[in-house]
Amino acid sequence: MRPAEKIEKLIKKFEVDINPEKDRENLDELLRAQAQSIHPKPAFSHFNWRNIMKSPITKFATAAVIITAVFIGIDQFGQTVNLSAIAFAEISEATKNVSWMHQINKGFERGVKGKGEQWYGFETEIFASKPSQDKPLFIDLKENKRYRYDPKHQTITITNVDDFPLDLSSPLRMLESLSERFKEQGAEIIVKKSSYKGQQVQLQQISLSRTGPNNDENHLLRLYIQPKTKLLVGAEVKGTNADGKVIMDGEITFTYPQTGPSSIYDLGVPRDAKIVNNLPKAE
Amino acid sequence: MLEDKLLILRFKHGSGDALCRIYQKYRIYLLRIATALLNDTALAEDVVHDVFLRFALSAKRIKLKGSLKAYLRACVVNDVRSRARAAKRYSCLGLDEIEPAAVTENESEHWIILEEQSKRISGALVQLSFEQREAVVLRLNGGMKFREIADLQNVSVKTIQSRYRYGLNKLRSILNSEVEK
Repeated sequence: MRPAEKIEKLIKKFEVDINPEKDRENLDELLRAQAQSIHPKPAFSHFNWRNIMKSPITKFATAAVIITAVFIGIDQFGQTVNLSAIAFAEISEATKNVSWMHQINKGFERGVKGKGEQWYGFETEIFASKPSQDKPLFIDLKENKRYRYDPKHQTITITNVDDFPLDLSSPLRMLESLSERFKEQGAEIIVKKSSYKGQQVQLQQISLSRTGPNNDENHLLRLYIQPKTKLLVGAEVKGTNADGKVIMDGEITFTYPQTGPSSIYDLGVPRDAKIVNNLPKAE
Repeated sequence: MLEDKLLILRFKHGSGDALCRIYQKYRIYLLRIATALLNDTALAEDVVHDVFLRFALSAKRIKLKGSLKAYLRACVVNDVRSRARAAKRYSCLGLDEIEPAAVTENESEHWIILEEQSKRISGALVQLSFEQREAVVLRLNGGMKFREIADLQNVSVKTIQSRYRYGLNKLRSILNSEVEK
């Protein structure tokens, strides 16, 4: 036998075996998902992925907000949740000491690549976004002011915050308004052990199926939770259309710093940028 | 092939039995490909499970142009690429960095079980560049033709044959002792 044939024969011996119990669990989950897709629950009326993606915040930042929402509000989803690995009360408890959350995200959505980073200040009620190819954004909810920098014209435009979708006064309050929407949508959730960047983590996997004319899509959110701290360390979001084509694929990593940006200048905006004040005159 | 067409037809009409049959028919095949490509059983489990989950969710809407096997395989390979990129597993490891296929401590909680020989093969495969690994794994473990792999990687057949040949040569030097036995 020639050496190439020997090595081919050896590589062909690579085989996997399966755990029958786990195999049965997986199949059961698939059957539930199939049943759900055949008899879908009503889709969102006013709060869905597509609407969220149209919000003023960068698309991936918003996707990440939703993921973050799920991270605490997941226990309100319904009856299919397996809470065996980590009690969600513990996760909620862990977030009480979180004053800032920082996330870095990258990926694409409907052919458009994007990456950037965001900060959420829960005591300060600040949201800041620094997309790599978009306009930095700084929102101060207590002051009701939105600052957006336009690098082309080197201007900072200040407006009121009319449509920010989240309550940032605490992580829990931010999530309460969102979790109910997910419940309505009938998300399918599984919990299992997994690995994330070499670490053992708990994986929360949420599948959402959207139906409607020309709008059949499946979305899969994967949340990686560090077992010791009970905090979300990473997430992935993937969307496919009816043909199985990937239309959205994003990866997000989370950290919990002590502080965050206190103004739009902390996002790298030059201090000599011209201010365009579009606040109502009373302000 | 005919069986698959019937299975898909029944699956689209909501047959749970058809989904069971599709799952049982292809899960090990897909797990083998994903594990060989990733050298990480937990990631491979996630990839294959995600693919089946999306498949199950698309029961009423799926439109297959080719074979079911090729569709599921393409989904797995695309997911593997995506996850490998995320985990930075494309890079070629040095010889002193070789580790057996990543298996979590408590195997009873996991789907995939790997025998010692398969761990060694997986440890050798991970030392190839991802392109070479993909050519070797899809050819030998996936049973694909060079033309099919070339279409999947969007390169010429000659390029795939070259990647395959170089991959085998490297594997031979890594696994020399096993081959000589």
